[in-house]
Amino acid sequence: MKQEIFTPLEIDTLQETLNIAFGAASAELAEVIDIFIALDTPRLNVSTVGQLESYILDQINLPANYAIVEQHFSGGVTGVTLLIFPEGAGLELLSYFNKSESGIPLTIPLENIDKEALMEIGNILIGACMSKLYELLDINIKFYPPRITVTRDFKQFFDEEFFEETHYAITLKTNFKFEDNDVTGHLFIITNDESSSSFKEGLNKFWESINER
Amino acid sequence: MAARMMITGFIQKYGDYEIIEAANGKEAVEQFRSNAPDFTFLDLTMPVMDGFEALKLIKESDRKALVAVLSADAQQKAIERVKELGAMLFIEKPVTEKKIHSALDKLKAVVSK
Repeated sequence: MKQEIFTPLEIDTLQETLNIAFGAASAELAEVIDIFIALDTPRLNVSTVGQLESYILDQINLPANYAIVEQHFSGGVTGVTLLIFPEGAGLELLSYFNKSESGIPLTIPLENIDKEALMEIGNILIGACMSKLYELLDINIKFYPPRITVTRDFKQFFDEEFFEETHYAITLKTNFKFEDNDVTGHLFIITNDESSSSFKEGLNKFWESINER
Repeated sequence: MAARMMITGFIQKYGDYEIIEAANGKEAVEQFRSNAPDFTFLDLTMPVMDGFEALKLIKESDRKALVAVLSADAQQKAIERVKELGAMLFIEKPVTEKKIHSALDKLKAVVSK
């Protein structure tokens, strides 16, 4: 079952659409804060739900805790997006924000400034990326408010009813780096195999739209 | 693969060209050095070696190489970097037939001067 979910061309096209979507999101963030984001090649992975947490940990390979911006979505495709940074990355990135424009008041406690900075970045990157991705695939999605958590426990992000042991998890991921200060981040878009038919329909529409222009 | 298929299809609709493909930046540089193509379409986000590095090496091999960079990376700094490295054109993804044909028009115009 796992091997049959997507054809090689479908996998490659989904990876390419995430490449386009995250490129657009990076450009949007770069307009807000003067930063250059080095992009990586996106990858799609299909695993059992039981293997999902270890797959994510293998990909990120970061020490200690992680600061994770999570955003759930539902509709044509249902799942969760995780934007993962090393704990403390927000403080590294804070210098990029013009304080008067960013809405991050310096009067709030230092430990919360870290999270506020990452929420600002997460809002833009996740919002722009997901909107673009599902626009390319012509899939209607409803987004829920994002949250930020500092943790090493990923299981809390996976709704047990949606990520049952009998399901396969479909993960689209990409890595990126804020070049000037060497902060690395990871974006994971995670759904289950029930979303595969929506993805396949979306891919057909994507190919049609490219050939029509 | 998907991106290469799209571009190859659009080029074939434009005219009768021999098309040589590469799966990553390192292969792209090797193919360029072996085949000396008239034009090169180069992605920025590639495995093994990214497009910035590949472009730099291609231009070092032949400073007159005509390279059109294709990328989802629409950051202004990426575009500036690509132009500094000597790319002739920057084409923002998603790639369309119109964008590729327009690029080929421009590349051909340079060659025929």
